Amino acid sequence: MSAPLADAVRMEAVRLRTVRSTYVLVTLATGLGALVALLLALLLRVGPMSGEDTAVVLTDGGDAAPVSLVGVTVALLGVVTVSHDYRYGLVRAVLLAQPRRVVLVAARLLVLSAVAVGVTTVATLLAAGACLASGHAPTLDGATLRVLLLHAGVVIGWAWLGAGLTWLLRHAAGVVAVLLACPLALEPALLLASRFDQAALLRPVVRWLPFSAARQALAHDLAADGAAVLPSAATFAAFAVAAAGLAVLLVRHRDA
Amino acid sequence: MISARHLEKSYGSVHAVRDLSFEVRPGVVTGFLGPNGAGKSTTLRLMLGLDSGGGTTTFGGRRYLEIRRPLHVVGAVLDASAFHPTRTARNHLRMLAASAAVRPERVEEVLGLVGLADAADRRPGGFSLGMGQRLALAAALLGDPQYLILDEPANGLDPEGIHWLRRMIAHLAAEGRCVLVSSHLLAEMAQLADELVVIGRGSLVAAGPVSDFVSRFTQRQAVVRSPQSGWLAGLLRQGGVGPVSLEPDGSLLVAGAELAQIGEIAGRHGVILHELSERVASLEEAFLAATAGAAEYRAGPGQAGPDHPARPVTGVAPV
Repeated sequence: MSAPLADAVRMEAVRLRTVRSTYVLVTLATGLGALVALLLALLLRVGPMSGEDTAVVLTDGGDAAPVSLVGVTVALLGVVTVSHDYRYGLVRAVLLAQPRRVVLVAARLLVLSAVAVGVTTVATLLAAGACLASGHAPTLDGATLRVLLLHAGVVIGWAWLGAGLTWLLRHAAGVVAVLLACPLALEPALLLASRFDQAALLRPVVRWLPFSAARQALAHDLAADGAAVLPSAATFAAFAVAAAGLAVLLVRHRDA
Repeated sequence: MISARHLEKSYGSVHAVRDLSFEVRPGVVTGFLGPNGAGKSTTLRLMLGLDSGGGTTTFGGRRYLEIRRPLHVVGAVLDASAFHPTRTARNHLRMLAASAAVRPERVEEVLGLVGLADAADRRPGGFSLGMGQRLALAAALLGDPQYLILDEPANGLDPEGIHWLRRMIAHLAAEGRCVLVSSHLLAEMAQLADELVVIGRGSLVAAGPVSDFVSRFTQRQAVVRSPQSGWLAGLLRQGGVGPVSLEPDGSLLVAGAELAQIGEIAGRHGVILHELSERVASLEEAFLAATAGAAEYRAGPGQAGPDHPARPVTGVAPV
């Protein structure tokens, strides 16, 4: 890690550690993860869970859920972190401390990624604990472990999308609306419409819907095949990287 | 030395800053003056690389972006409320300190220096504007920088705070630092600044020592008190001295004359003088004269300023 990046990472780490909203969102993410796991586990028969059930329970619903709750909560952390810069005029103080904007964006994304991995790990462990407490032993086969790793990657992608879109739009409420409306309303509507012949032209498009791709990336059967999960994972990752990349381009030239 | 060269900034067709060049010398306090909308804050942001625009600014020969850990070289106060309302003052400074490997004890030092030691663990959301200014100043001083850029640092400070700030800035300059202070408080600036950079409509109006600026933009006037003021006024006019005006308190105001010249005329004719002194023009008078016509926003008829048009003048440190 270059010296300016290391300095910026230290600043971003202190920045996240010293504000209450971080703790609220991290607690919410891990707590929700454990709660959803417990509720899902209670729906299963007592006894060892299959690998597929384990993947679904430990990832807040996996490919069966429209969004990853941990992912959405970590995305909110990204939104809050960036929007604070503009809402409270912190952007000037931060840019005076680290004027290399690309370095600053990279540092923030790195720190958010680290938080995303930490939160996902704790949420998964709490979920596993909830399963065991309710009499369900998780089965950690190769495909399930791949799903868990992909879940961490998806949560990182959510964090990047939250931060990247907020840099682009500078409007926290608007970004949250986009992050919720796309996976919960827009993409399901497009997927549904594409089933009708009158909207057949949507069929090539719906393969590249980012949040649907993120959901598919957590499918146990695809993970069992290994390579089959890559297009979905790559689609979501590409959108997250694109959001961050556009943010870098914009932030480099934007007046503070 | 801080050296700003050919700074330019436009918003569409509006030129906020145009071809602005000036220097800030070490060891002196340089005031940065201009009417509302003259482009002062834009200039400061350009200097620090916060806004994109033309021209370059160097701090000891290096541009802000080229400095590895800028907090150790340049300290800036641009906004007294640039902090998260629930991040404590101490943590705000720790966050900034982390970006430049500033030792943790320095955070406590600057908190004490600006008088916020007792409020270090308070959330700045409840701070007054003056406390916000002190926190912003603490952030600027974190890296013990050689160059200081302060935008309206006295805003919101009470008289004691202003007095403290004046002593602090003078002390920092006396240590050999370059200090550039923007302020609307002309009386304050008159006491604080050694040199001035005055801009109007984004362009340089004048640069140089305060005394040069005041004498350049105001006319020298003599105050004469005499029990024979009517007679003396006539003698002065006959002697080609003046214009002479009679003030309501009976004194004479004589413009553009040397005191010795007036004294000689009075002595030659045996006129009794009770007072013969020079009336020192204020910075405010000079500023209003220098920036007349350069003000972006002005009150309506009846509030007009002096008639002198703005014209560029450079003093001791011409650029």
